[in-house]
Amino acid sequence: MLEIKNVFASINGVQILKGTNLTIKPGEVHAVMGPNGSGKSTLSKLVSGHPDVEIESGDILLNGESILDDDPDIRALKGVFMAFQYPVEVPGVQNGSFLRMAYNAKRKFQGLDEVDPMDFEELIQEKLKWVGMNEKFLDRPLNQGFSGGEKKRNEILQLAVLEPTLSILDETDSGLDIDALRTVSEAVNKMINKDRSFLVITHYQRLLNHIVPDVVHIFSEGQIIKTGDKSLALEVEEKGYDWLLQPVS
Amino acid sequence: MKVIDFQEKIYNDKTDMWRFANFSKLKKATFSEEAETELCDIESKIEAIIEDDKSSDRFDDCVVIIDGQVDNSLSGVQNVSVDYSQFETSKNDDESVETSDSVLDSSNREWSGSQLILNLDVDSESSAETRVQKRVKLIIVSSEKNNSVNILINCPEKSESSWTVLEVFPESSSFIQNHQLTVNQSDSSKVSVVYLKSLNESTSSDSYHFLKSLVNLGKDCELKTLDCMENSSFTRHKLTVNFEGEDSTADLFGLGLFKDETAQHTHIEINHKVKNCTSSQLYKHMLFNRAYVEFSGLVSVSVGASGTLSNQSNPNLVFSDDARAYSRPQLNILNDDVQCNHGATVGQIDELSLFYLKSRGISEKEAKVVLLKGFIEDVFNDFPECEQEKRSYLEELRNIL
Ligand SMILES: Nc1ncnc2c1ncn2[C@@H]1O[C@H](COP(=O)(O)OP(=O)(O)OP(=O)(O)O)[C@@H](O)[C@H]1O
Ligand SMILES: [Mg+2]
Repeated sequence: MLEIKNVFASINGVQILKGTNLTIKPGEVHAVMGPNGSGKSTLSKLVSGHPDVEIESGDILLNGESILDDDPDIRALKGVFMAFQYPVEVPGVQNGSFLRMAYNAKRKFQGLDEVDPMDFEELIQEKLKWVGMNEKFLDRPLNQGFSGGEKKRNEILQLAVLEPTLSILDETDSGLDIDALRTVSEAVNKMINKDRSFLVITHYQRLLNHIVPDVVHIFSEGQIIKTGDKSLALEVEEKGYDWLLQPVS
Repeated sequence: MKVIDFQEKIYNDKTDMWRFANFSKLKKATFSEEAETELCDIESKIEAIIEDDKSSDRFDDCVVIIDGQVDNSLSGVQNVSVDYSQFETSKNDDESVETSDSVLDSSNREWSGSQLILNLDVDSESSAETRVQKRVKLIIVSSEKNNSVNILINCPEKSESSWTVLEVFPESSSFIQNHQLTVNQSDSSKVSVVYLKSLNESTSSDSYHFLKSLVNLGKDCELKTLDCMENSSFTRHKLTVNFEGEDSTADLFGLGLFKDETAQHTHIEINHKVKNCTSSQLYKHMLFNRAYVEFSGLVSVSVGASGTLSNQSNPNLVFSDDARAYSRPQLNILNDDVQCNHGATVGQIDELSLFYLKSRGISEKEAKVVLLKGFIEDVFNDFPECEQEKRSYLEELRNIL
């Protein structure tokens, strides 16, 4: 599904990713943990095509094909979705019509007609239930004035509607209350199947109790420094990162 | 006044009100003085506009003004009575203190010859609860190359009315227009004014459009104005609002989409002469290509005008390195107990918002259209009669982006 091959990338001339390698197969759930500022969000921005991230060398393959030349919208249409760590407030754009627009863009890309508004209404009502959101959020400007947790739910609502094949969740758990964390995790779990892959960035093992990863990576200074199974997350939770970061002499 | 004198005088004025206007082209341009446009061409155009308005039921009255005279055959008037008042021929003294603002005044008087007075009829039967808004459309047509119209609108006490002023530009490619439009609002009246222009394909680099509008508000009045600015080669709109009576509000909006080599000069002057009046200005501009926009908003608060609230905002989106937006907020406050805010921004479409929308599969173009739709929408909030204008701005944007 996704192959990140020895990527060096910078933001504003500062190298952040320093030889990142990561392969995710269809159906797999990978977790990435790591200290603040280590480059986890940069990694997710890299994959989604954020203009700030400048790739110096390396490649990103989606289903075997490089997506480096694709604009963010094309990557999205090909199935990439990033749930933002800090969702953007977009005044003047109504949440509901934005969702329908994105949904229709995807249908158009797949050669389908625009969705019938009634059918979309039905779809959206179901997905709202999944993430525990009130429909009044559809009438509000996109993310504007949403609380931290509401923004995160709204990201997962978009994910549920767009059904991407590669989903990157960048600290979706931060800002969610305990019940919301469960609801949102359940929504994500409903999405998991053999054709879809997930990359879950988090600081807390708690999320991984709900969304159980197949693989856990520890990220530090722009590289994956350790890979293991879900027990690695428990270990990090207990001991912190220091023991991993000690230079091997 | 001869056109050539007008050109010369305007060009020579270097006062602050004109400092940002470039008149070197106006000075060199030549305008022939006889009417060229066949009126019948324009008439069919007007008939189409009227038909369109009828089918959408946007207006109660339609006043068609051709070269300063109401055309009775084209107009449909029920709520307005029409009058004319001849201007006295000017004495033409004081040449030395003549500023181009007074040049506009004197040439307007001379060229228009008379003032057209539109009196909104009083609806004597209705009380405050049953009052209905009268919706009037003015279609101002000029056939001559240097045309001036002078219109006075009187809105009686407690009346509610909306005035959509559509200026149909001459078919010829070069012309000077110098119009004046005054609205007098008696106490407790509500007025909304929308300024529209209908351009021609041929409207080219030698069209000059001057408009002075003035609104005088009595006590307890409400005024809303919307200036839909377009791509004409040179436009100067001076809008003056005088608060003559207490407890009144004026909300002024403007939206401009400038896609070619255009110059737009907006001069707002709000005079808070009395207590407890509120004014706001929201002017939004989108500049492409070599557009040049000056927005000057002067708020004056007189001694004794306590309780004044005034707010001004002028966001500009600039899409080209060659475009220029000048924003000049000015405050002249002679009273302590007032609150005046202003903010002007010049920027581009927010990159983060654009990326956010694109990251959901929305194309760059669609994303921009959606963001700009959001940008322009609040200007129209108070003008439900302008749905059509809003749509045409969006269509226009879709074509440019
Ligand atoms: N626009 C930017 N300009 C300058 N530096 C940046 C920019 N964006 C990111 N950085 C820097 O890049 C480094 C990596 O940031 P990144 O957001 O990827 O970290 P992270 O691992 O996601 O951290 P956290 O766990 O706090 O979310 C940080 O040192 C950050 O300051
Ligand atoms: Mg981060």
